[in-house]
Amino acid sequence: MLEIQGVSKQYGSAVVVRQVRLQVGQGEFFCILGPSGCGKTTLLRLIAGFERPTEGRILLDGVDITHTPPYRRDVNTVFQNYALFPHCTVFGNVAYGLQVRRRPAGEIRERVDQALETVGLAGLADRMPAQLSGGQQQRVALARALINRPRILLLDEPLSALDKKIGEQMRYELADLQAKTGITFIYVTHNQVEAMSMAGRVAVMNRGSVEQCAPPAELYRSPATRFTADFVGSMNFFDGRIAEAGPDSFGILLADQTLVHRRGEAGARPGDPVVFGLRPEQLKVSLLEPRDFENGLFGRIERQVFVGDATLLRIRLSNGSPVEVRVPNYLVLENRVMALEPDEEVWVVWSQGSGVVLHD
Amino acid sequence: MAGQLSRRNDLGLGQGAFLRYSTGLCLFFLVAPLVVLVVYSFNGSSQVTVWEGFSLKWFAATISDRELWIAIRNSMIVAGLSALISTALGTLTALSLGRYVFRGRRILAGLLYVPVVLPEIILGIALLVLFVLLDIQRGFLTVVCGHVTFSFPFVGLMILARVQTLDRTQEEASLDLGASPWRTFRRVILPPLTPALLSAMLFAFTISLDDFVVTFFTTGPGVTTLPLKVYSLVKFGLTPAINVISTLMIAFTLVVLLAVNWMQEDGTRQRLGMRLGGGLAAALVLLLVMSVLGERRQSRLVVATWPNYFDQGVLDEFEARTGIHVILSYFNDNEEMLAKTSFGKPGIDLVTPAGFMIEIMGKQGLLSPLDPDRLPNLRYLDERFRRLPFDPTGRYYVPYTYGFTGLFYDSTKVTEPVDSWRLLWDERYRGRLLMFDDMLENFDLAHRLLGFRLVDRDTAHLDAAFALLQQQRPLLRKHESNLVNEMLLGGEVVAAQNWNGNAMRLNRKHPQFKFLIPKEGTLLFVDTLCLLQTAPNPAAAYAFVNYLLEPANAQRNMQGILYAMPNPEARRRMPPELRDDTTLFPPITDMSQLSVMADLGPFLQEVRKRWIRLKTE
Repeated sequence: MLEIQGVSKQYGSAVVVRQVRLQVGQGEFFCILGPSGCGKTTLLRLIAGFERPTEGRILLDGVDITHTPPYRRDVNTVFQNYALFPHCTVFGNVAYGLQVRRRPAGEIRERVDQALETVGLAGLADRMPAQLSGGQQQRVALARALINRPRILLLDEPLSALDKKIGEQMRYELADLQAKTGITFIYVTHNQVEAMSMAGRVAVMNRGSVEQCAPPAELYRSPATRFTADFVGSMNFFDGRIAEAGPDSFGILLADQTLVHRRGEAGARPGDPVVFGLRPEQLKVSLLEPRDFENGLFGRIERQVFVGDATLLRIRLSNGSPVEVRVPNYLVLENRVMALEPDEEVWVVWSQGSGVVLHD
Repeated sequence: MAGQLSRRNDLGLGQGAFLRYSTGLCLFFLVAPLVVLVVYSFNGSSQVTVWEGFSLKWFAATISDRELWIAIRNSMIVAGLSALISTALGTLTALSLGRYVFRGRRILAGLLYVPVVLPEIILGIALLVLFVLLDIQRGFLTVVCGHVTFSFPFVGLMILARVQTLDRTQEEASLDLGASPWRTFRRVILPPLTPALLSAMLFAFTISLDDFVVTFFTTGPGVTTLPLKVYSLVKFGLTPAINVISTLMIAFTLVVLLAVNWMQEDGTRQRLGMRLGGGLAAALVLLLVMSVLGERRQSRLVVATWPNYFDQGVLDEFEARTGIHVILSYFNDNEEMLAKTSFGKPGIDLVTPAGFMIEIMGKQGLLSPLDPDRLPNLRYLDERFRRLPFDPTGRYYVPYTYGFTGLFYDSTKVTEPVDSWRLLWDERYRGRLLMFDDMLENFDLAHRLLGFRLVDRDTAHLDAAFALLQQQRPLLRKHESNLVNEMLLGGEVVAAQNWNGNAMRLNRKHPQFKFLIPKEGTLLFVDTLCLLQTAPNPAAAYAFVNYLLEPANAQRNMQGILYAMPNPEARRRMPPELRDDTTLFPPITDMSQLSVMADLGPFLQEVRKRWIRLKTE
């Protein structure tokens, strides 16, 4: 439905958005994820029409809207700071889109009531925005943007200003709302948890380019680039090269000459440089040497960080590089492992089925 | 509690005695002048500073003064229009400075401060020169333009401060929701700006309402605003009417302030007040514009002249007869008249300069030759006055009045016999003597006292005369031409130079003021009627001159202003006591006397140099 064809945006010599190609389908909950400054908000503003691309085209339902002004695009936006009109009541804010379209007063009243009902603000129509809490303002902004039943709703980090709890609750409500209305959502965030928990597909952006576009699980399981792997969840990286390649397994020679094994196809020839990535939760610590189907590296526990449901261990390997291991705390709680001491020397082990090979 | 409070305010100044007195002093400075004004507006006396008992007569006189109401109306229109225009312009400026990035933006922002810091008089002169170059006739348009020029930067700066606090995403939200840029401006940008807009508009209105300097330079005759009117009242006839006007203005301001205060109490009142005020303002504007338009359709004749130089009844009858509205615009002296008329399009039809000015004005091409065929009543004039030496062809002028300068004094205070101008050099009356605020009158008198004649153009004589005047300077109350009667009547001065007509007017009611021609002799003058080259309405000017020459009108006019006119038939019709009065009709034996004040040519510069020194030292 929405097609972004090779869109770039330049300010002077600074390229903010670089050759972005994306397709968003009808009714999708699409997320654009990236660190601040990656160009995601600019991309959103290009879709909304507040900016014109330096090159490329934007198509909505097959119609080129690249140069259509924002007020003629069937796209509405929920702004990061909500941008409510402070001199209008809640009703006035939500009704605005209908009023400028000169709908009859009866219809406006009805649809505004309905929209406020939908976002759970029934009865607050006569308040002024300044009299509302952050969460309530957020809902007003949502209702205001949805009142015109746009083809696409753009959300620019809408939850970033909310308390954590309220933000989490809003995530579910947003997902429900999207499912209920069937409107295509394009959601911009730097918070990967938000992206993963709501989106059907996520586009990861870095320095103006889209690094990868995939459903959250795929993104997590097989990140295409080192950036994605690092930004979505966390990852321990090891530089190395393919040492030997068999039909159903291959070996990687890490920089410190340790050979680790990985089941599956190499997808590369021996000698090719690769980056091998392991998620902290894929690793275990053990006092015993790795078994046949496991890889292992030896190191010393440097620091333990308790994060509630897990403990993060920072281990300095014998080759000098650090590794992070995530140990679920239920094991500790159930007394199934003994407590680890700082400075204790341990094996970091993982199954030969784990790990991502990135051909960088 | 009180002790605590005072301790908190205590700057080591004791228990507040000092603060109490300084507060009192502040109050005194603020209120004292106003109290005096208000009290004296109920004065029965015709003198501003002499209390004669409670009376409302000046209120009645002021409120029925048509010219005053016209001035108020003009001020309201000018202030209203310029407030509206400068608010619109200021808002645009603020938006473009606040929102739009362009080359030279900082320069424009800096330029905005220019009218704010520039001395107003410079702005006034600059505007005058601009209008002259653009060849625009001075009037409403130029005054409003001038006021917009100095008030819109204030508005712009006030609104800019607000614009910079606006949240830009709100505009984007509005566009996003389908509102066009114009609708976004009206519904999202304008509402938060409204309070700033209103206060800026009110501010522009206020500074326009009390502006004098720029108005003075940009106005034309017939567009007298209230400050100009008050100024001319002070200049050409100080009466308690000024106090009344001030009292009324104070009352008006108070009512507005109270109303605004009342409105701010709560929202409903505010809306009510806004609606009421808006409706009232709209109705007022409509009325004003209609009255101006109505007047515009009427034919106008603008005459630049001296105060009290036309009889009001004669003017009224002319207007009734022809439908032409005569507007009088007053000048202090011939020099000022020359300055005002020689600049661009002053919008003046007729002037009444002294004869010697005709040579100067004629040389500068300011005068239009008169067509005798359009003035059949010229036949009533004394032929001797038709071709005086300053214009031997008689093409440029019609003689209007003639008269002379004499010595005028209060016989209750100057009791010894008087026969010489030396009275004006008498140490005993130090500080209570008055000379005309007129260069030639001063130097002619000084020459006369020394036995010289100004027309000889002798620099040595001039220096001697100058020394004499310098010697007199500390004895004088001031130089003043137009308030001689008022100052004598008020007892501020005891002796002065005065023109015969002026003196007669006071003398008829107050015989203690004596008028005479001192033994050293005096200066005769002829004032003329001249048509300016730039006259907007020459046809009306011809009609008016012809009308004035009609013996019946001339007679009535003479009796009103008490100056002689060279119209034998008119003189014949006057009552014997006036007809044979030698003060009104000085016996003229030698016509050359009348041209005594000839154009002095380059010598005039020498005189002027000394005159300026005399006045400024």
